[in-house]
Amino acid sequence: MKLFKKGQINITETVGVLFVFFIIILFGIIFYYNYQKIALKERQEELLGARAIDTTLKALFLPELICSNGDAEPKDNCMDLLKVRYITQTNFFKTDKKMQEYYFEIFSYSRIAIKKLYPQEEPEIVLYDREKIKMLDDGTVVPDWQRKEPTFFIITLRDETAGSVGAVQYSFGYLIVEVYA
Amino acid sequence: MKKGQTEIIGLVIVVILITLGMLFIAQFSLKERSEKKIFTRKGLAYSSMSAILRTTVAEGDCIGSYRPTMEEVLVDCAKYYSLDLSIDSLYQCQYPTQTNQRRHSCIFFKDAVTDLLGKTLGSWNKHYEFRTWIIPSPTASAEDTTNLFGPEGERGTIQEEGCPGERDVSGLQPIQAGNAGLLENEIYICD
Repeated sequence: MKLFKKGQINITETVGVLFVFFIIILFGIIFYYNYQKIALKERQEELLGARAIDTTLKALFLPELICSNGDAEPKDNCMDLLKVRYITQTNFFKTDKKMQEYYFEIFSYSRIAIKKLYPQEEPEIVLYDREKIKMLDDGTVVPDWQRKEPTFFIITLRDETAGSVGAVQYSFGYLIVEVYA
Repeated sequence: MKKGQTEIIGLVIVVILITLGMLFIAQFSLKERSEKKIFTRKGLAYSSMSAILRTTVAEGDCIGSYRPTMEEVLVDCAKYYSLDLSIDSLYQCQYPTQTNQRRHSCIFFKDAVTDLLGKTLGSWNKHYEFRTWIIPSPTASAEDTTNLFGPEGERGTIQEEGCPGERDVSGLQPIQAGNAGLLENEIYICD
């Protein structure tokens, strides 16, 4: 009888230890789950930021916008307003489905605009805008993005028609790139 | 299970938890600054400087029909610089936000850069310093240099709260200013 009681005590002890052990494991799992949730969110933020920078760099060096000099190397951090006007007037990035897909491959869901500050401040010119949208059951189109990450970059805007004959005018402005998440 | 065995299991659990905790802390403390962030800030500093220097002054802002670039205005400022700006500069220009009065090119340049950087970097919550100084000759020492926008004896700056700590720079943008010497310019940007 004594032996039997001792065995019971030992088993209870073991069960107790294992119970505590598994409780600690459970706390560890809950803690790790919460940490992973935050880490995933941070990682998504990082990727969104990286995408914003990639899109900005692509816009800055896009041949359709950059200040070119014939066969010479184009001017960096510079956009040609003649090209910008042509793109906005002809809706160049959305001319047809093929063009839309081509520029979507480059810029994805984002909004690209430029703003001139000096010599004359002018309203924002939107070059590309592809918003993430979804259609509801009743046919209404609504935005389908949770947030957008803006990136700003100061640039020179070249205008060959604004200065006096033979002179080119360079304006001070900035590029705005917003990516949708 | 013997008492000793139970205690050993307890110790093992404690060691595992401490190790996991230390790994967790190490992950945060050893995180490096994103290389992309450095690249963007450096790129922004460089593009800000090149945009400022390339910009053409607005039509009618300067006396005469010629429209200089900001680089030319800065060189003019260096050539006709004096502590009290008593010597008239070649370009007499007015910046739109200032009083309707054409002024020394140093004043115009400082007004323009302060306003433009304030509307861009300042409004994007970035701190910055714009520095420009003249080196009169190749053999000049640091004491012989003249800053253009600050108190005598200090490197003068146009700034938004300054960048005393971690920062990225546009790189020196040297400009020959004729007899005045060599103009060196740089922009620091920090978060």
